[in-house]
Amino acid sequence: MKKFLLLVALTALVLGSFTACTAKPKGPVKVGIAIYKFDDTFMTNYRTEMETYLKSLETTETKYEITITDGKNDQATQTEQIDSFIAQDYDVLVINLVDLTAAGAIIAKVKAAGIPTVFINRQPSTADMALWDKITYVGAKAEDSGTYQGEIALDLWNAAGSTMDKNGDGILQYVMLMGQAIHQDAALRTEYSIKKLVDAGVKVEKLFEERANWNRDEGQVQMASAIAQYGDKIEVVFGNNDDMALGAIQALKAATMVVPVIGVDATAPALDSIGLGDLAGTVLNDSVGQAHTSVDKALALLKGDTLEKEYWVPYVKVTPENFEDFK
Amino acid sequence: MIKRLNDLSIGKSIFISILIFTGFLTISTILSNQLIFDRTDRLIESTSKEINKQVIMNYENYLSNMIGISNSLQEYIIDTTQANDFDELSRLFVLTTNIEKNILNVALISEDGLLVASSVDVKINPNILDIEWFLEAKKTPDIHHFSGLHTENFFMLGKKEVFTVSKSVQYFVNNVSTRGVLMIDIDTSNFKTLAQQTNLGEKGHIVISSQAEKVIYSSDPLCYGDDCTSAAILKEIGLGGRLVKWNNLNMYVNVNTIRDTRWKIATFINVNEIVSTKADILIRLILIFALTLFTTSLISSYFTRRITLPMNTLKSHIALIEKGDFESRVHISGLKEVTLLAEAFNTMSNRIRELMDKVFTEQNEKRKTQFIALQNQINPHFLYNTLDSIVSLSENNRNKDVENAIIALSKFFRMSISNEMNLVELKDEIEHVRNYLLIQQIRYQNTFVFDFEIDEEILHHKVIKLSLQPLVENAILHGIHPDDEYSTILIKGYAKDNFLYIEVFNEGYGISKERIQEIHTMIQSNQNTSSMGLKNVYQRLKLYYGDQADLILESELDEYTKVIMKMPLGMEESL
Repeated sequence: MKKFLLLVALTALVLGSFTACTAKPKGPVKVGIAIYKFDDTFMTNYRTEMETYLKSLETTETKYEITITDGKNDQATQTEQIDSFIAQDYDVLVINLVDLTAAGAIIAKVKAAGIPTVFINRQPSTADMALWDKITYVGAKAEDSGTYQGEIALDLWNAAGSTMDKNGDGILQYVMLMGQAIHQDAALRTEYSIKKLVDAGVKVEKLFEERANWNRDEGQVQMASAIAQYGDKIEVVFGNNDDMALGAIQALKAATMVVPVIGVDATAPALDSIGLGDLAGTVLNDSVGQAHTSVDKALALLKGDTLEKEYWVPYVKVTPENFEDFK
Repeated sequence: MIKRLNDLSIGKSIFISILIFTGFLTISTILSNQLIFDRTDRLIESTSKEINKQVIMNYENYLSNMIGISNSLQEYIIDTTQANDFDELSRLFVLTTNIEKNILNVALISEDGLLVASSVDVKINPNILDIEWFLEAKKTPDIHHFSGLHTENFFMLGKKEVFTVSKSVQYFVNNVSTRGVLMIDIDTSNFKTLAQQTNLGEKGHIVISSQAEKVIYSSDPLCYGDDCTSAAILKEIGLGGRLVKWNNLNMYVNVNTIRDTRWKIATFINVNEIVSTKADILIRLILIFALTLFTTSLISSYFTRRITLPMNTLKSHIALIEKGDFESRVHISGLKEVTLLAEAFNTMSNRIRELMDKVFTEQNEKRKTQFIALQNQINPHFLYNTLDSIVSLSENNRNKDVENAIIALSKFFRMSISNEMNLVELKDEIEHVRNYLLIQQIRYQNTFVFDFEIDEEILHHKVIKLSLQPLVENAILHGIHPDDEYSTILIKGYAKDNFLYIEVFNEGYGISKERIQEIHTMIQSNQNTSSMGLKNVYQRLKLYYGDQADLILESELDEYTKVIMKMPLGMEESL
């Protein structure tokens, strides 16, 4: 009799816990984030912000279990990590691909597993993105960084009492320091910074356009060469990145010249340089904004929303007025 | 539960113990096997993945080398075309094919299919606009396109097998930026050698497919085209690794992408030996396990028999004893414990037999005593003398004495003959002795007097029937001095220190110390002697009361003799 009672009690307990389980809301939402490699400063800020932001969105009902993996710049390693996310039934993935050409295979994989995925920072081809409707891309348009460089120059040009047009001919004479030719960003920044000015009706004249290969020293050498050729004719200097812009500033200082120099990236030395009044401005690839957007889109996908194929997060202009915010 | 366990026979207990033991053995074997097999599986998996990564790395190095060359060429294209120096570009292309022997042809083609610069100065395929690598490069300008292995199809220089890297590039015509396609034809021999550089085991091979899962290359000679098993397996896995059966061989297959290409690569690694070894181990373990189970069962049943067989012999001997056969002896050889048990059993049955014999002897002795006592009482001599005395009393007209004598005689015999109980109350025994004394007084014509000094409280204590009379008889026989008139016989009864004492005192010659010692020795022995009365009393006392009881003789020469009967009190119930 005792045994029977015990059995009944046990059964009740098991059934009770079972129903309790089904009645309870399911466990934390499992978010898998695959980064192409951890020792990339920009992606480090990006992933830290994603984690912070996700945690800030937690409520008493919804918790997030976040796992971030390091692809070690090896697609096979990253593929394994994504495989493991799938094997562990993650609810949503955020993937920063190592190798864009692997996108098709990865998308086929997450589609088969039915796990909605946000790709970040490296955009898969349109054909790959068309493979499934539960995927989207969040990134920044490389051409925007050029456009914002143009805007900074335009603001200086249009500022009241601007002395930018040194020779008073109404034409903006510029020097362009470029990154390596095969880099998409270099060409786009070169093109769109000038395009912005031209579109705004500013007449421009290219004095000097050379590759300094993203490098500070090469930037200095090329700038010195430009100064030697054009001297006081130079009215503005664009660098495809901050390092080359800072090199240009060194060359200008050596020639005791003061000319506005505009870079891209908002690196720490660049911000310091703005503080010293040397660098006129730079453009920030907004890791915080992108992190928030990618998290928002991931959660929207999880909710079942239909999303666009791509979302663009604007760059941010950094000038002496706001540079303190980015330090 | 415990009670039920206790009810089990030895055989069953051992069997259940072995069952439990083998159960534990089974579980632990299964668990450890599971552990080993899990480890093996993981080892196979990780090793295969490492090999796969190595193969991929080889290809990636090889292809990234090509991409590096392409990147450099792109810079040259921009530089030379900006300078409008197309001859220099062609010269660079030729230089490239000379430096890098794997590169067969390099060309820059405009988007509408016209040759801008080339390493070979021949006509080109007029259907260029329909060639896949050209179309793909234009479609996705950001990345390099890697064609499959094909016969050279651009310059139509022969049947050479190549694969083509194509990329949309920027160049300048008269300082105006435009786009074209850079193509590089690469010899496939190195590409194929790479596949053989890694040991994938017997029949291990690689399959490279395009994104559309068309087979680009397979190192398995039996697999070309998209119809082979390997291609189907690659397609089924998509990405990732797993163990598959390939033509009845166990292969660990990993599918991964190759960087910067849209290719997938599947490595088929032969793990048949490991997997079949695993099965071998399993079979062997099962065999060993079954063998162990079998032998332990055999051994256990042997031991069970060695224990239970002697036990059963013992049991049947016990049954014999139950029936009363104490002569049977167990002869068991076997385990030490069992032989010890048998010895103990034999000792025990010996002891029981001894005890039984003793009881038997004692009973016999008692009967004999009673018989002797009875014989004494109905001694015809005694009766004759008594009756003779009564006759002489009658002749002297002592009618009152006659009456008394006859009453005493009658009472005396009633008591003697009644044989119902072994124990009687002391007062009855006293009464009996009194009658006896009365009769003897008549016989000995009042040559003695007698008296009783018995404490009131002990009158109802039980004593051995007819135990006092022999002592009194003894006192009359040895205590009455024919010369002395009126010798005294005094019978005292009292309790002291949990003992009951009855003393028979008589005046007379007394006996020497040596004689007392002699009598003591005599009554304790088993020999038949003249002094049967004392001896019987002594032995009955010992028989009934054990060592505590005693018969003590005290005497003073020419003064008195005293026989003391000492019996423990409070033992009546147990008798």
